[in-house]
Amino acid sequence: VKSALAIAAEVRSGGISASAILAETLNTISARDPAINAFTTRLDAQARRDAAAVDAAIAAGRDPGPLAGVPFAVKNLLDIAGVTTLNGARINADSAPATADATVVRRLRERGAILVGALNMDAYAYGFTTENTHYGPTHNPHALTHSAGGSSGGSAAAIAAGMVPLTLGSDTNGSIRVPASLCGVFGLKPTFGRVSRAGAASFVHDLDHLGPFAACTDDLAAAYEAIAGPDAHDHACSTRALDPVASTLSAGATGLRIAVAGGYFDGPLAPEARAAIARAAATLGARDNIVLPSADTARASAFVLTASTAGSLYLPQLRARAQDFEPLSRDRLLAGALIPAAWLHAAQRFRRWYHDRVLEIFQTVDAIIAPATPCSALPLGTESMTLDGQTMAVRPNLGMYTQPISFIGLPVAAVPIECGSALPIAVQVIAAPWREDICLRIASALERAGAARARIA
Amino acid sequence: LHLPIAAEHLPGVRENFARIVTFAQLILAAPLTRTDEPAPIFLPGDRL
Repeated sequence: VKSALAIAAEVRSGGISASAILAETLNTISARDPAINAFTTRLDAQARRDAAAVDAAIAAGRDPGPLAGVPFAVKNLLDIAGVTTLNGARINADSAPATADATVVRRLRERGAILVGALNMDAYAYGFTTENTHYGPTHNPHALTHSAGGSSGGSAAAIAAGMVPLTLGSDTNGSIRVPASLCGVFGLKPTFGRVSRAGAASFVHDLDHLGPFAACTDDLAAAYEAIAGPDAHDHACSTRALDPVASTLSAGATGLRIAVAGGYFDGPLAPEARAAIARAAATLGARDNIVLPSADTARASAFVLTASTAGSLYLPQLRARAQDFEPLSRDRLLAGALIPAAWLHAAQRFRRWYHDRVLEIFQTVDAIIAPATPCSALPLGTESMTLDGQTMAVRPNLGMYTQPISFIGLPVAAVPIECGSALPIAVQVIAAPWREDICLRIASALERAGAARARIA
Repeated sequence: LHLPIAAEHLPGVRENFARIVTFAQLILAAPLTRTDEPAPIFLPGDRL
């Protein structure tokens, strides 16, 4: 499987045409996806036109863009002009097609990348398993009977199956990091406000983030640089100039103060999750433990904020057609709509308190290593899991270690660690706001040391 | 709220609400003071 940057270099140099790359990609998707169900929409005709345009630009001596000919696909909550934005839900199936591409889709296409389709997800992005009743589950490419994680399960599985080198997903409570961990690929959840959400279906407006998945850190950095930066169409998108990251990767982790998250993040964990943390920490020489104060309350606040905001967002449809909702999340949305305002307000007040305490920690460390998921992928349909003697429901708890981080918008890379486990698992590399460069430098250092590697089935 | 809940959905709604109550109890026990403001700040003119 070629990396995105290798494809772009080859296409730009005339070594291979974008149309040939695309034909190979479409064949691979046809062969692999029936067993995986990552794609909900294919855009073969549009992709062939775009690839032909790239080839024509090269033939005419014009610059086709830095990502020329790179096939990519996006979670189906992102607008694609001419395609109905499903957001994983049957209640949207009859909606009018989008009239324009989401900002992030447009930015990749403007750089020469070729959009080949839309990807499966948990309905409304409310879930961690991509068990979608109406569009079918996405199967983990490393164990087809197992979950790919969610809610961006199609985005992670498409990379892990070697169907495309680059995808986009969203992360409100862990929806990039959880599937990246369970599928064994790299994912980046940038700082809140760093990547425009214009043209993305909203879930929890002040927790929603967009970000890329890839099979290597170099591709992840290139995709991030392509999609990030100011955008007047998203009021929460920062006007802060984008700092380069790709050019900093070679600096590695040298000089960075890296600690391991203890306390709340120390368990419950499956042995493979502990092994991943240990391997990452040993490789990086991270010996200190730090405690994020009241991380359990942060997780609780993210949970309540999510349930309440999503319940409120979908209230009109819940009144009119609750029977058409995804059964796995309908009752959660109904319960969320009933949350008293006082609880929501307390969660938002705690959020500010927690944010300020955690930022103090970044006075003494540059990055924090934490588990991405409490365990590796579980069989589809699994209702409960027992970890360190504690039995808990699977669907609300796969994101128990990601929620306290996205709750305050910190940048995080999900880095798949080689720790001898049968199925993949990742760690989170967390940095202070706007320091995606640190997350990616550490991911790159782990990759170059052989401790991190994407698994492609 | 004018939110009818079908009888077959009530057990699931109760189960989910019970989980939310557990989390809410943690939040309400947080050591907040009267000066701790909510996180989202409304910025007048931010769309101008």
